[in-house]
Formats: sequence, structure tokens, C-alpha cells
Amino acid sequence: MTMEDAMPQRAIIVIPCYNEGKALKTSVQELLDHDYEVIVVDDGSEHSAWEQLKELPVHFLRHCINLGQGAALQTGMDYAKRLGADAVVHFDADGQHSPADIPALLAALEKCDIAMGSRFLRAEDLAQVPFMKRQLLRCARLVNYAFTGLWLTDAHNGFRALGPKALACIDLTENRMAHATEILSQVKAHGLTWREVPTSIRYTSYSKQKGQKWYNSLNILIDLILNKIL
Amino acid sequence: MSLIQLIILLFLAFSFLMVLLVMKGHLAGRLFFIVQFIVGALFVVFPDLSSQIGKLLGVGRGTDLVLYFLVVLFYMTVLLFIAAMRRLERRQTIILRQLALQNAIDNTRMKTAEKEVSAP
Repeated sequence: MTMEDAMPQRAIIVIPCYNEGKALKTSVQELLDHDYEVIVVDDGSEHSAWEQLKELPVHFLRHCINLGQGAALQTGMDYAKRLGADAVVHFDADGQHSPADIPALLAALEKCDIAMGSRFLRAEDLAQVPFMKRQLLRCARLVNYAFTGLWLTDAHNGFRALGPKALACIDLTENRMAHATEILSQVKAHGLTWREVPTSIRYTSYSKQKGQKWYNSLNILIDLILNKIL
Repeated sequence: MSLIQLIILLFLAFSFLMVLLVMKGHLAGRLFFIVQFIVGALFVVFPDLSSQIGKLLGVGRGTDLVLYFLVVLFYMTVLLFIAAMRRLERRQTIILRQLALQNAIDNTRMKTAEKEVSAP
């Protein structure tokens, strides 16, 4: 097998979105400028995101009611599989991820089934993370390790690439559960190989406002405990 | 038999039959409600029975015993409903996903179309 066989032949970017503003179009446009194939899944936004995307060459899917980000990602992955993708990249709609990091994630798939972005591997990325959020994520990695046995430097980064095996195994079913947590438990359950790749992060006032509130981490903790018991 | 006993028995019998009708094909559920009905009817017909069992279990009054069981049953019922709702949610997700996949818009061929049709 040559190196080129190992590299994903057709990688598709999946962007879930819910009530996104103009940031969505900017993010999508940026990806298209880098020649990526993009699937946008509108998770039941009040006003369909199609309005702002119809001039862009993307694949567009829409849940007619809100099901949760995990469900939207799964819908996008199912569609990517239909299109014949052998790798999928999860990408946030709010503009905090950078398309420039995608090649590194895809390259990592040569050596593992799932490559996860981390804000904690490079000092300059870490400097972008607000102080309190950094402390919270540090606690989260301990909790994650305790419950899933995966030692991730960045516990809840939505930027990740899934290779063919991960794409076939991972099935996000729990609509209400934090999908990042569910992915970790499935990585463990299916014995998928994984590694972390340094990715940058751009916090804007928009992405901060759209992002998870700190108290949501309590919900994630409860999910983890329930997942362990039940 | 006092009037109140008769009224409660009638309500009990009515809801019992309704539950049995609704729980088609759920033998375990039906048996559960049959036992529940028999116990309930016995308590109504022999009001002292609950007090006697209560004393046996270390509960002062029969009404207290009934209340305790009611609380436990209430939580069990809520849990069963939540489980049923989650099953429904999962099915709903499957349906909506199928719908989304069917109605997917492939706009990726637009690039080539753009060249043919000049923008207004």
C-alpha cells in the first residue's frame, strides 16, 4: 500500500448549525475557498440556513425540528457515506475553527481511526482560551479519563476527523447527550485508535455567545455518570 | 357496602378495563395491572385490611401504607413514561433523518452552471 492509499480519498466537511447568523456563511465560504466539499446540516433553525447558503456550492440538509447537535452530525455523516466519503471532518459553524488545520487532521488519519483537535498542544493556541475555560477544560479531562479511560488534553473540542472505520462504527444516538462525550465512549467501545492534533481556536464575541456555558459541564458530568451506571 | 366503596370500585373497574385494552400484547404489563386491581379491590372492600398489613410491616396506619406505595408507584410510572418517550424520540430521529436525507439539496454543481448562466 502506498502512502496515497492511506490518505483519505474523499474527505467531506460536516457543519451542523442551529440559528446561526452570518458567521455560518463566512465559515462555509472559507472552506470552499480551500476547495473542500461541504455538507451543512441545519438542525431545525427557526429560519432555514438555506437562505444564506443558496448561492454556495454545498450540500444542504435540514431537520424540520431541532434534534440536537449530535443528531445533526450523524445525519451529515450518513449523507457523506452515501456520497462515498471515506473521511469526514466535524467543523463548527460559528467560525472558531480554521480550515488551515484540516490537512493535519486528515494526515493523522493515516495512523489512526479518529483524529481529534486540541487547543492544549501548542502554547499559542492555549493562550487563546479564556482563563476560566482553560481551568474548566482541565477538570473535564480528568473526569473524561475517569469515565472513558481516554486521556485527552482537550476534553470537548468539536473539531475532529473520522476515518473509514470510525465512520462505519460511530453512531450518535443519544440526542440529548453531549455528542463529544458519546463519541469518546464509542471510540472506547469499538476499540478505535485515536490521536490528538493541535488545532487553533478563534474566539469571537459571537462564538462565545453561541458556545457552551460553563454550567452545561455539570450536565455533561451527569451524562457521564449515567452512562457508566446504566 | 357503603356508597363510596361502590363508586371507587366502579372507577377502579373502569380504569382497569381501559388499561387492559390499551396494553395489547404486553402480558407482563397486563399481569401487573391485574394484580394491582385485585389488591386495590380488596383494600376497598375490606378497609381494615390495609391497617392490618400496615401493622405487619411496621407502618402505623393503613392509609400511610397506601400513601407510601402510591409514591413508589408514581415514580415507577414516571420512569416508564420517560423510557417510552425516549424510544419515541429515537424513532422520531430516524424518521426526521430519513426525511432530511431524502430532501438533501446538492448545490455543488452550481459552479459549472454559473459559467453558462451569467449572473444578473
